[in-house]
Amino acid sequence: MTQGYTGFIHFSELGQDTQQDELNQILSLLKASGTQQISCWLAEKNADQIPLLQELCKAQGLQLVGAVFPALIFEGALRNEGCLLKALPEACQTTLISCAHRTPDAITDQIAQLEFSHTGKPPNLFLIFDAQQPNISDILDHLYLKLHNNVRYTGCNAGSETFQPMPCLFDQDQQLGYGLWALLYESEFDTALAHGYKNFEPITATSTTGNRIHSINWRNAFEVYQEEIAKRYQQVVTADNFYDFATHFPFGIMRMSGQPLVRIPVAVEEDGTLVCVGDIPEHTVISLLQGVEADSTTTLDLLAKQLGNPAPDYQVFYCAGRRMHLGDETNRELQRLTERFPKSNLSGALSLGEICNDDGQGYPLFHNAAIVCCPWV
Amino acid sequence: MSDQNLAILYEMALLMGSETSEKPLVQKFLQRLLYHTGMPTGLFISHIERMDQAFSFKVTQSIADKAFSPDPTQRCTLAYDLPLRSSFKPLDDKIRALHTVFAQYHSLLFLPVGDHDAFLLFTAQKEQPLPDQLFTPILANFAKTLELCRSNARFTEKLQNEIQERQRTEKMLKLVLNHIPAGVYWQDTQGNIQGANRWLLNDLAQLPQDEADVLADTTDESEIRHLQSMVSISQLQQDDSLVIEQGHEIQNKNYYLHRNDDSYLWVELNKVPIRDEAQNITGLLGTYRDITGRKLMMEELLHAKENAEQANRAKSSFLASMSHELRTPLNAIQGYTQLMEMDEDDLNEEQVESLQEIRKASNHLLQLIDEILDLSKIEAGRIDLRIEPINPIPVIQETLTLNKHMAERFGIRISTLFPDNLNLSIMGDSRRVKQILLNLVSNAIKYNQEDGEIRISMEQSGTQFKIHVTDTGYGMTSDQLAKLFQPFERLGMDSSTRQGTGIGLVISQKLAEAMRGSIQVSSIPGEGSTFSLVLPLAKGSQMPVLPEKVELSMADIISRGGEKTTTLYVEDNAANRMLVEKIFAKRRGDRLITAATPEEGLEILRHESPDLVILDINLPGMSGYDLLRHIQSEGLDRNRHMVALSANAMPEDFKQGEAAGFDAYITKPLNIPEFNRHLNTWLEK
Repeated sequence: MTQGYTGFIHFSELGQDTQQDELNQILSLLKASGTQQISCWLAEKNADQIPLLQELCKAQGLQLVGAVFPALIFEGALRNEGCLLKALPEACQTTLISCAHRTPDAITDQIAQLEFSHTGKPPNLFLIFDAQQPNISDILDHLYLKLHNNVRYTGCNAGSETFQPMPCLFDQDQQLGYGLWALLYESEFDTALAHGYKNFEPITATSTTGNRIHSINWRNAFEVYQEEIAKRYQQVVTADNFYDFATHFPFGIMRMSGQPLVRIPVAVEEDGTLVCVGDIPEHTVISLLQGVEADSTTTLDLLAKQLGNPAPDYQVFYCAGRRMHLGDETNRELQRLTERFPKSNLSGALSLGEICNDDGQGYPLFHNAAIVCCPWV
Repeated sequence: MSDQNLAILYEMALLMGSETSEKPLVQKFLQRLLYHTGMPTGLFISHIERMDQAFSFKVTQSIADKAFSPDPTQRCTLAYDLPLRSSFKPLDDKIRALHTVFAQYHSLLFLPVGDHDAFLLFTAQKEQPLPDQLFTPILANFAKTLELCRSNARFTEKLQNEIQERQRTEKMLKLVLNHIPAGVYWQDTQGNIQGANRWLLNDLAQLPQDEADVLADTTDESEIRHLQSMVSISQLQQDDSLVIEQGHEIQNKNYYLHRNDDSYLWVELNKVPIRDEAQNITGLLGTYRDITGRKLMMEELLHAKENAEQANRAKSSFLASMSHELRTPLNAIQGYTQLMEMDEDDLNEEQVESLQEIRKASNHLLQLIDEILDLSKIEAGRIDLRIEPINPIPVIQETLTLNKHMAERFGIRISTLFPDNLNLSIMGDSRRVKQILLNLVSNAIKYNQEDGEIRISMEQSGTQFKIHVTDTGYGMTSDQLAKLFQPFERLGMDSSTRQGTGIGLVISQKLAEAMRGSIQVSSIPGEGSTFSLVLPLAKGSQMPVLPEKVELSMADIISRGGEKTTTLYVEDNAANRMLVEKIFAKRRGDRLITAATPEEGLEILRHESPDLVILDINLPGMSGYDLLRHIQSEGLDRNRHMVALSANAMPEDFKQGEAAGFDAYITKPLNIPEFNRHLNTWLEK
């Protein structure tokens, strides 16, 4: 049990006493093998285990960093409960940052204080945001202006799938919401992100505020959405069934080069404003996207192309919105993903937004509906 | 071009429309370029100058590794043939050499913006992600927007400079307005005060300094109302209609203002109309100076002037009175002395000598009176001069004639040195010039050595004419010269036998100065002195021709008038009456009737028909002037000479006499020969 170790604990299969023993046993073994710090992805259902984890890690003298996700990915399938533990090498640098009442400049200054020396490729900067954090794109822009291409950006959003605020980020001492967690590590392998969603003709989000679209083509945003759905699928969208459609037909922010950025609307307000996960700059050209088909290989092909020579270990973050779209087909896609990279150990979590840049360079972009594969340590 | 790309270009065009200044415009556009192309690094270069196989530029903005920190003021030069159109090219080593951070890239997307700006986008990829000319239309648009921003920035800067300058000027004007020692206010056409400076607020409202400062900087309505309620303001507004309705300006008008605390002040006020661009009067600007101090000073000066004039009148009155009171007894002394000297044959030698001493003493006293009066007149600026071109020669000759006997008595020889063909004239009053020369020559005689000499010479010096009187006297030291022109200073001669008042030279100097000339002195102790009268030459004037003067002997004087005449003399002073009776007693054929009172004189006139009437002025009960008016009213002055004989010898007395209608005004004491000459003239039939 050393570097590369992945431990998964099914809390539901253990009794109350056993859970603690099991955890303690794994942590003892990790400590005994020389591990100094560990990462922990915890299913939303087991968020109440955080204090126990913190207590045990402190008892063992281990540094802990972790996050709560709606579900976990282990052995090619989604797990709605449990705990995924990974040993982190000593060379990894981590920092847990509260973003409450702080400017993007101040937040990114703290990240920029990490030591960025490297010997080979630029190191990976892995970021986990609380999905409730409102200005993720803004923080990413500031980060790029400071760190530029000296790191390769990757990451995802944690939190509850209900979009209710919760303190989803933690270390051995604290637990917080509205923050971010940064991990800097070296890897010779590349990162990949893909979603495979197809876009239709462009429309323009003419009035937006952060993650809210007020108007499209200078008209009420919800009315335009209703018309587009009716035109293409002859379906009637109402405020009540809006989310059922939105996961299948999200918006995409267009780019000339590269994949569009998916923005899944999650709510409609009384005035027709559509609320998305992730921000939409004003006057951005968006498009109504069609969700990926269950048996499409487009996404996996794109991932394979970007990853090239696969790493032995990947953390996979699979968008919760994508699961909403694919439903039961999600596990099949995960299975196919596992099969596509037979020599790699894949695990991860169901995420609420994904972060990556194109081919390891340029602005870090915030996506929805995507699968991101991060080579792990 | 796909609809998608077209829409994105449209989006970028919209982005441009949302920015009005260069920096954020370029920054956002560069970000969008990197976002859409997926390229990691971008520069915006400006001030591009293309040369043969090279170009120079400045990097004004960048999104790149923080190790690359461009200096927008520094010009870079690259030996690289910059393309004219958008181009995706493999990265040149020369561009890589720009900075080490570019070493990792393989390709460059060059996007020109107009002729002098461009975006340079760097990527590690070798493949071309987008068509070369995809951005051409939007870049053309961007170039125009950029120029608009720059032009906007230039105008904004210019405007800001102008605003700053205006603010500076305004600040300075406000500083001046609030610190000039004058009140300034402005109002609308209805008389509502719109503003005032600190001086006015301090002066009229008498506010504490801090409050006045606030008022001067702001125009709060309640504070203006406070100003408006002051009595002094309504007094200031007295003549506003002239300015507001007729557009007149009021200059330096004095106003008397009452403050609310009952204190007062005098101000000198100016009011001008305030006009708009169309020259319509929109208000009034008033400025005033506090002249209370000046007014008080003027009042004091007026008071002092009145006092001085009163004192002067008292002095003049004293002098006139003194002159009259001294001349009256002197008239008797000198007159009787002269009468006795005329009967010299009946006197023994001792009596003759005594009479000579009396005459000398009385002459001295008379001269002293005359000179004191002269000096006081000169000092009071009341001397009347008749300055005209005069020939100096006859004046000098007359002077010498008058001093001839005195020179002979002292044994002094007088020589003259007149230049040949002297044909010029000097500017002066001939009577006063003669007075000065008489003084200089008589001094030269009196203060000469026994058997000494006097030399009279003349000299033209530029525009001046000098008459030198040189003596062979004892001369003067420099100390004596320094005191020479001080009144009553006789340089130690007070106890000598030489007669003198000590003010003759002072009078001479002042008279010379009054005629724009001077008295110059040079002296060598033991050898003598030269006194020079300097006067201006007359310009282009002809030398006046003087009539030949006929000298008459004493016998001639009293023997004229062989025919019978009658003279009436009205005089209350018995001694004077008797003196004139004695003078007439020696005139053959001339009868004298005397009257002691005006009434008596008037009565005689009604019955007698004298050829000459001589009236004293200071008569009891009725002055000589009153008597003359009575005579004139009855027509008794017809066909006869009316002469005043008075001890009043002030210039205004002469004028008054002439104005009253006297044919002549002669003063006491009488110079009997001179009096006889006058009688000859008046009684000649």
